Amino acid sequence: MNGPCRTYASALLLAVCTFSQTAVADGFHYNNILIGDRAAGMGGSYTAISDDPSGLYYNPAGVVYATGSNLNGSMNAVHHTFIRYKDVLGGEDYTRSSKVLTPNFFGFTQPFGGGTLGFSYAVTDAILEDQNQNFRNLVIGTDVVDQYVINSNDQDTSYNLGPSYAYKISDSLSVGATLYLFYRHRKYIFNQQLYLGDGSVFWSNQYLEGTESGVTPILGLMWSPMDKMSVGVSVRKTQLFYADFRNQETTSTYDSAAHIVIPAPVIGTGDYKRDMPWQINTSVAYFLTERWLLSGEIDYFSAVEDRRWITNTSFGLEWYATSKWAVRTGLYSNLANTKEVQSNKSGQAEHVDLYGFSFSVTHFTRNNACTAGFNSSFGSGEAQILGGTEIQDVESTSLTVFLSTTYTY
Amino acid sequence: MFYGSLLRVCLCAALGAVLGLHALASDAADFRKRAHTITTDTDLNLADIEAEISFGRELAARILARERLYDNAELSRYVSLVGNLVAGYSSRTELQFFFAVIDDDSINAFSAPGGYVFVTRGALRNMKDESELAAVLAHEIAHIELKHIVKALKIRAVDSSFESGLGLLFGGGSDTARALFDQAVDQATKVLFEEGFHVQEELDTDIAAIDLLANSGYDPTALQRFLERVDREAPSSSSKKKRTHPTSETRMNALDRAINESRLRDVSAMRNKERFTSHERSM
Repeated sequence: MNGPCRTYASALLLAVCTFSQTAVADGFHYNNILIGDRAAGMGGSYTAISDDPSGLYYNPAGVVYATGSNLNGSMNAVHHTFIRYKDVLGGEDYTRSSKVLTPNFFGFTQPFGGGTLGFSYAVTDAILEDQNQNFRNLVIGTDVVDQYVINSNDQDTSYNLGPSYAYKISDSLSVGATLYLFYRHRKYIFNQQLYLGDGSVFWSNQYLEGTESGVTPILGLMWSPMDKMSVGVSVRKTQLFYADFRNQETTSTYDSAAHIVIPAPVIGTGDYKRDMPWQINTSVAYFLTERWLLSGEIDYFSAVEDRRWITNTSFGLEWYATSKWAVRTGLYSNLANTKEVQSNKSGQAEHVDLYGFSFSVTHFTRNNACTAGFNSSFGSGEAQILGGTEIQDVESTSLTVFLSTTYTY
Repeated sequence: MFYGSLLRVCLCAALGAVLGLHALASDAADFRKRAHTITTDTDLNLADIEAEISFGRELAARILARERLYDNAELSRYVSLVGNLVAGYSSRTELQFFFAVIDDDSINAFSAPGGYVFVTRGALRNMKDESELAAVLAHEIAHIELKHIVKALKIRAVDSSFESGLGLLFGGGSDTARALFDQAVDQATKVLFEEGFHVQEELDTDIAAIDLLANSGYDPTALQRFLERVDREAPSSSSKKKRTHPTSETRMNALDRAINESRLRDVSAMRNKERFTSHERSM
């Protein structure tokens, strides 16, 4: 078996398994799933609006303006991601795709003790990759590969669950806080079999499971400096208090002289608690009329460990065609928190800046609102999915289709 | 030292700007209201309601100065009975509704803010059953429920916002205020008898009327039946109605959609033809 092939297979394995370096399901971005029906339709530009249950996530101060005594909102989303690494396997592309149906938000608000009490559940990221890929007759470097089989399963979900309370200081100023319990669970299985032209076989198996727990306090402020205008600011940072992961990796080779080599599995455990970034959302909304609403937002994420600081930007528009039908649309960015991939370096995380748009339609009856919509993002960049200094072009797309209901009484 | 002073000046300026802007700000809950919350608005302001009722009472008086009231106690009682049954399902539970019959052969109905509803004898004569009477009254109740005139003329009690153009009317009482009040009533009269509401407002009102009919147990298709008949059988006498309402085709299409979407087409509901017929002599 030649070295380069071994390097290829090993590199593929190593490039995707390092749990602690992966912040969330897509650890290279912070804005993967938009929460809440109205917010998702407006590209997530919602911190200055936040006057429904999804405000408990964006800016708890806004829920003091929720209409009606009680509100319930829930949302289910189908989240699909697709990443193509170009020209990886002897000229062929390597792709990863994920499809997951997730109840990504539930929340309610209720007046309580002079303020507004709320409780919400939000899935901020979810991925379910289940792949069975089979490549034949590849030429990698100077080696001929008869068959290359990759089977993988990756489940990674981040949950947030907790209470909120908001208080109206004056007609134009309110404050609020949410305390989320953060929980993330990842299970990852990755098998590879590489059949070379000279009869050599390379086989590897990796199993990884990990859990993280912590708290995410969110502090919010909502201010109306003038008529029809609202300014919202929220600050959050997740603090992990528990982390546990274990990794088992087994590699074997079968060479042409019929010597099987199966080393003992390498088992690793860890409890490293990642440092999570500060997130500061700042947004302005203009309530032009009861039918038109515009909003813009900048979300800042601080640098942490090997991640750089970034700012995501979003814009949203809401228009009521009638009192029973509303249309929303938005634009948003989901920038990579990794550094740009540089030549002559190895082991660099992929860097793909994503840009997305969103659209939704809501139908209102006397006490209910039903929403259907989608948001989608696109981007291209670079990665080093192999172990060497070679750089691959990457294309990434995502599509989230959601249905939601809100009940007011 | 210099930087300390500079910092203090900047902080004072920022605080001043914040307080200044804060003074200009109106209640954020007002401008945050979205179009769909109009019918479910539970954030009631008593002073605004009193202003609306005062304005409506004045407008009703203006209507009665222009149109003659039909003096038939039995018929008035019957119309009030049906009207109050429907109004009982309105979201404007804070209002007391009044119903009256206008002695006019044209086919028309109108309402004033605060709960005042009028229907002409001409309209009553063109109805076939009680559900159609309920439908016409429901349409007028819906105009009040949706606050079309209140919103168009910004009728509200005194507040600190710059937009409460009529706010001073109900807190002042000066000659200027009285003149402005009269102008507003004139404007409302013009809307009712000449200009009409916006097409979309009429369509929204029809849909709200269907909800009221369905909730009160009356046939939800009654409004559609009545309008179709009026359009078919008495196009000339409905000229007043036509002047202040959208085209029949637009209305019928919207009603069709709303009834079908709500799956109310084949609902078995109350029409009360016999009771209505027993009052026909007095129409």
